Amino acid sequence: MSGFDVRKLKNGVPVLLAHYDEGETVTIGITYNVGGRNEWENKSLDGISHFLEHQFFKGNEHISPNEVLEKVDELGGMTNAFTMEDCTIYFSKCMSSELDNAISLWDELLTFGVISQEEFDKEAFVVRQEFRRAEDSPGNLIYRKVKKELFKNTSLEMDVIGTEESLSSMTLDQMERYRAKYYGMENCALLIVGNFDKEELFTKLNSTFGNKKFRDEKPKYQLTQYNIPKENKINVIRVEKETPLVFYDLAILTPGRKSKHYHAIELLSHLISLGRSSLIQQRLIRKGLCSYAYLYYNYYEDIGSLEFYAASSPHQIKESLDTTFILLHDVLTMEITSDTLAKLCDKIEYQVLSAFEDPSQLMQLQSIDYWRNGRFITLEDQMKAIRDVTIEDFDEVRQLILGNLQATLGVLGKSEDINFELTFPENTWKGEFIS
Amino acid sequence: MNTEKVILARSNLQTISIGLSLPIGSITEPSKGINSILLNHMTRSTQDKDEETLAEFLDNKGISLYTSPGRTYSTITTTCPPKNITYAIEILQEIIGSPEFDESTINQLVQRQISQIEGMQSNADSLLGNYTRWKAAFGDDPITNHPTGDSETLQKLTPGDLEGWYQSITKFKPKIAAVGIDINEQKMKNWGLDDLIGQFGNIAIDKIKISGSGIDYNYRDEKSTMKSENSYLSINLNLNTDASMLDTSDLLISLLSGGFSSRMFKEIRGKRNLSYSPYAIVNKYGNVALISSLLDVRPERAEEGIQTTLRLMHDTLTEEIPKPELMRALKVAQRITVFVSDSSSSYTNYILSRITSGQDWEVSKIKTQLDEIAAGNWQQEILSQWQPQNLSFAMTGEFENLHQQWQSIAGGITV
Repeated sequence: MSGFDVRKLKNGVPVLLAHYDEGETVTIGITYNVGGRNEWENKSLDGISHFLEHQFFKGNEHISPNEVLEKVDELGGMTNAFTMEDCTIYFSKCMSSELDNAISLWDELLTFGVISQEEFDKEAFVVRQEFRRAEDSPGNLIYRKVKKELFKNTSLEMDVIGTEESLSSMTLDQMERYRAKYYGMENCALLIVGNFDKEELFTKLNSTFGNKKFRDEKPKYQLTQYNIPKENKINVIRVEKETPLVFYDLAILTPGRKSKHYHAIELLSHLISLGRSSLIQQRLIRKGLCSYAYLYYNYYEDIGSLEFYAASSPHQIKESLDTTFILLHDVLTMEITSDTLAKLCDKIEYQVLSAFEDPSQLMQLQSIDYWRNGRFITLEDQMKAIRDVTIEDFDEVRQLILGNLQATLGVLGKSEDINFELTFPENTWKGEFIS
Repeated sequence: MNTEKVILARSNLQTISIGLSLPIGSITEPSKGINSILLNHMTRSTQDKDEETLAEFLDNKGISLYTSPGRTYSTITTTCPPKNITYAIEILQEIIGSPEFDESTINQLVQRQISQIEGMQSNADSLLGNYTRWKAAFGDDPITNHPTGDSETLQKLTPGDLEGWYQSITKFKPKIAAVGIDINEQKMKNWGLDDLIGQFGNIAIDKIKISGSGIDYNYRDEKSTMKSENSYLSINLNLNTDASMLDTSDLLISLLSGGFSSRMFKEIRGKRNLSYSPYAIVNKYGNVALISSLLDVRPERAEEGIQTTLRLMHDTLTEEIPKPELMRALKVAQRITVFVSDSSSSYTNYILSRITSGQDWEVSKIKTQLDEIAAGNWQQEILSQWQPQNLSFAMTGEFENLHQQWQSIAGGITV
């Protein structure tokens, strides 16, 4: 990558232009700072951001639904969208020669028009069917239940996909008002990543997205605060489902992206999960305890969680969970040297090299991170910040997050496989598991 | 086409990937699932490096190592930063040249693989995709064996079994692909690629013959252990073909589900609201391609799902396709260029899959071939195989028996 240029359109919309030399493709991303968190104010709208994400593909009075679908395919690449708790991202990856058409198409699609009742009703069925598919997936189901409990009474408790009830009762009028409130240019950022002519592109963006209305006040959602836990407290959720495996998700509360601890928490999560030599691979996978297991740092602007997700056979579930807790406790107490951190940073750097070889991956990362971090940041600066984490920072963070556990544990499986007593293994923590 | 080795320099990439493809898979393995266990074991430890040492070595050099055991062929692929390419090739040589098999590791791998099998069979969607539609289309043919094998056979595997299968697979000549920044034939030779190839024998496998179910309008349904909200359906068409014709099926898939304006998306999701995620796929082998149209539907609308999907497939082969629609589908079929060109590993895997099935791998040639297919008599080529013995139906999840309905609907749509 040879350029990382952050600019503003004439109306004030921030734009990231990340240039990859000699590639043949380009990815355009349009990211809005809206998602499940905005629905918290009116819980009957649970799932409306995601529903509206679908609706933008339905066109408006200038472009019919069929024309939208045909124009998307005429780009010849991949176009899609996804919704999260705090952002909704639309994107197209295509050959560089199609970028002009992609911008024109998105400029047109994101122009507000009347949503027809017929298209609204049709899409309401589609999102309910998507919800049912999500219910069929053990991994998706347990993640959503755990998140709801972990972030109870905060704006993060909303289910991005909605509920059967909310999706059935939402009205077109509610959707139009929601769209008018949250989808202005003041709540939007653009990203173009790949091979393109920078100045030509910027002129085109200014003559399209740059002409859209940018209001003074940016919409907000309720933020929360990370409080240092004073005691160990693990809320337990048991979900009965006829699966041969037992799935579990241990989500430990952490500070978020804007915390000074962010990069140290990243290091901590990589120590546990990055690569073949990680603790998860050593103790859970290669020992044959879990058919799969991974951990990642799921962060938002204000708060986050370390998500430890795994699946085991019923006869190994107790041992897997005990091993998980012992592993985490060892992370708290093990000796960590500067050399350990330096080697870990090398591994992260190798991972970054490979993961962001594809420009569309960089677009995805930046389109989410922008709202949580408040700015675009180069991979080089990210790596530098990670390398700047000291032993003292690292020790402080592991004490902060793992000294006392504030977590939710979700277990999904057959009734007879999940209703066992939960306790901390010996020589780890002491405290309550609250069902 | 019989390409043995492809080395491709790409200046936009940051890494180098090397892949080996061997003509071994679940269709040829002596015990169900042994191939997967063998490849996983080989990439986990060697005579010189135990599993922790090997893991540390790979992570410290930024080398990733993947195995992909398939039905008719299997691959081992590595990706690394350019500065560590010699280490990556060295480790491949060590993995191929000096494996060590022990009972404890086999037990761990077997336990894990059994969990994976249980996971796949419990979920209606994956049960359909990995097992049921294969049995519907191919009956008892060994192609229906999933690469993960079966629990009973896996539990009996010994180090001796793995050693024996290892001796067999290294007699075969691998196909090789390497994609990355600043590479060429001479450099790869200097880095040790030819020595790596020299560790294998020179046997080329005969073309595998795959047979259909032999039953007209074959029907198969299976209940998954996990309760589902939906019925999951698959309508299948077997194409008996050769390598030169395999790309023809890509155009059909593209018209059916290649994009938002494709027929399944518009009719099944958009117009009828039958399914959230209808799609068509093709699995290609030496003499056979399996085209499947899959969808999730509410159980009470499963019959409508069959009727609509089968009619769509048939109409796509019999009606004149409007030129703009054909051009869009062609562009979608050709978009592989967009998907593979930005990553050394995806490009390597793509080339391996092409040369293993005897197809051209150069993107520009593939595009030209698709242009020629679209301009030619492609519908008739596929339609000639729309025969009762080539059509089958599979269903999992929540459902009523629809055997009679399927036969009646399929029998009513004739060429």
